[in-house]
Amino acid sequence: MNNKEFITKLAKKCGISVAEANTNVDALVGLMTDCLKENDQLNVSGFGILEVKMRNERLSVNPKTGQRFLVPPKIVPAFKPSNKLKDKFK
Amino acid sequence: MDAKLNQSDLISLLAKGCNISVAKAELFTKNFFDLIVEGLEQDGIVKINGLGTFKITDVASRGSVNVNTGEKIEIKGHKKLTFIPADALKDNVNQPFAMFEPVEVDDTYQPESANESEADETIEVDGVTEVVIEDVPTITEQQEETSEFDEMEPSVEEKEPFVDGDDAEEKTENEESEVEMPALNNEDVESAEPKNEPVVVQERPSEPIVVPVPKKNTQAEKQAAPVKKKKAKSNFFIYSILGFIIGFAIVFMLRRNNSSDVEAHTADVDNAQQPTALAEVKTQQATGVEAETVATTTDSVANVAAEPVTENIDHADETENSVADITTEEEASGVYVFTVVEELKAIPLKDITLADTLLYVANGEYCSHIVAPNETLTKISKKYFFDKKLWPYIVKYNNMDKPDALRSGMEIRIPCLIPRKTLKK
Repeated sequence: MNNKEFITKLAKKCGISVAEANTNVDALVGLMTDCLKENDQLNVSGFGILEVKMRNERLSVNPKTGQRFLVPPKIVPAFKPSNKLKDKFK
Repeated sequence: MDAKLNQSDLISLLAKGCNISVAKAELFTKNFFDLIVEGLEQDGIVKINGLGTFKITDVASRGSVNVNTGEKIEIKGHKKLTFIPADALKDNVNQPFAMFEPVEVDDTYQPESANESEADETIEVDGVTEVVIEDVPTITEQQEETSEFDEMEPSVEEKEPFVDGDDAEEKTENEESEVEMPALNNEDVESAEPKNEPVVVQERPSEPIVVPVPKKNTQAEKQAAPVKKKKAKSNFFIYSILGFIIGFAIVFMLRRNNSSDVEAHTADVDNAQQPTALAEVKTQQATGVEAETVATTTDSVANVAAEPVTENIDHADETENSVADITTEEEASGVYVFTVVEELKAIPLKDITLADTLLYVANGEYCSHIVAPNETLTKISKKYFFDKKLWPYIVKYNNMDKPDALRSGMEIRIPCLIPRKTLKK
């Protein structure tokens, strides 16, 4: 299911126009992004937890050329599905 | 920061941001997440722009161990929900570290060695400056050096005949030995400059008078010092070692002068074959006629600066050897005497024995030996070779990796050592 399908289905489900659904989805995604940007943890019951994690710097080697790179530290978004969801797809 | 938000917070925020009622927002968010789950059930993948992709992936079965019982168990393959964040979300989240980029690690860069060489350089610089300061310089310019030396040499040979008696010689020797130490220092400084090298060698015949000359050199050196320091650093070690060797050569020559008075006749026979021996003997006798030949021999000394050193050491060790011995040794000793000189600088030269280096060759097995408790290689060496310094031959003959490998009860083979010299004959 791609983004377009998702929005049309969501519009149908909520009884709103696709355009409205689109703006609302953008707003919601924007809110979630802001939330993660602030290092906040977003807990959606029955769905899972959206959070950020810190990755340390590391050395990586290009196996073809043998060049070694120092990969800098970074912060990555992570999703932890709820137990309910996990069991559902197991 | 680090706060925990739940769904209701999200709903209130959405209602505010989109200017819609809270009920609508609640319905919307609920449907939003429900639809994701629905889509996952349906297609196994849901893409949302700006957020990322929710995907169901397969996990292969794998073996594991029950931690409590140690039994091997198999974790069966299953499906897992994964989330791949979109680039926009990643970039937004990673903003604090956005300025970092992967850097290629340069393996060739070695900061330690660089530091070491820097340290060495500074030490050398210190050495040079100290020596320069110690010497109290008296006079003139560098250009005069060579011309002055030319003038000096004949005068040396004229003077030397007056110093024939043994007592007088000893006196000059004392003077020389006093002079030598500063001279050596000066050589160290001078030797930074390649073109001074022949000058250093020329000092040999003209030693008693040469005293002021090195000081001139240092004077000149001091003037030029700031410019030459860098050059000096690179060649400093090589020339300082060379300086030491030449110093030893001088010492040996003087010693031989004492001892070889008796052997002057035998030495005369040597003259035809050995130019340096010629030089030594003739500087003793030093008649005006021979001045020219002496000059030529000193030239040859300058050319072959390294060889005379070895020869001189030979003379000191074995003053009673015949002509043939000396010539053969010249070939044989060329290699090892250098190592002797460098290793045993600190030890008085008369203490250097034949035992020290490669003078022997292992020729067959003499016997085998079982190592007793508390027996060391030096003890064994002393027992069989009467010299504790010869233990490396045992190590080499037994192909031991390290000298430490010796254990009590071990059976080792004792080689039969014969002098390399006799082997050559």
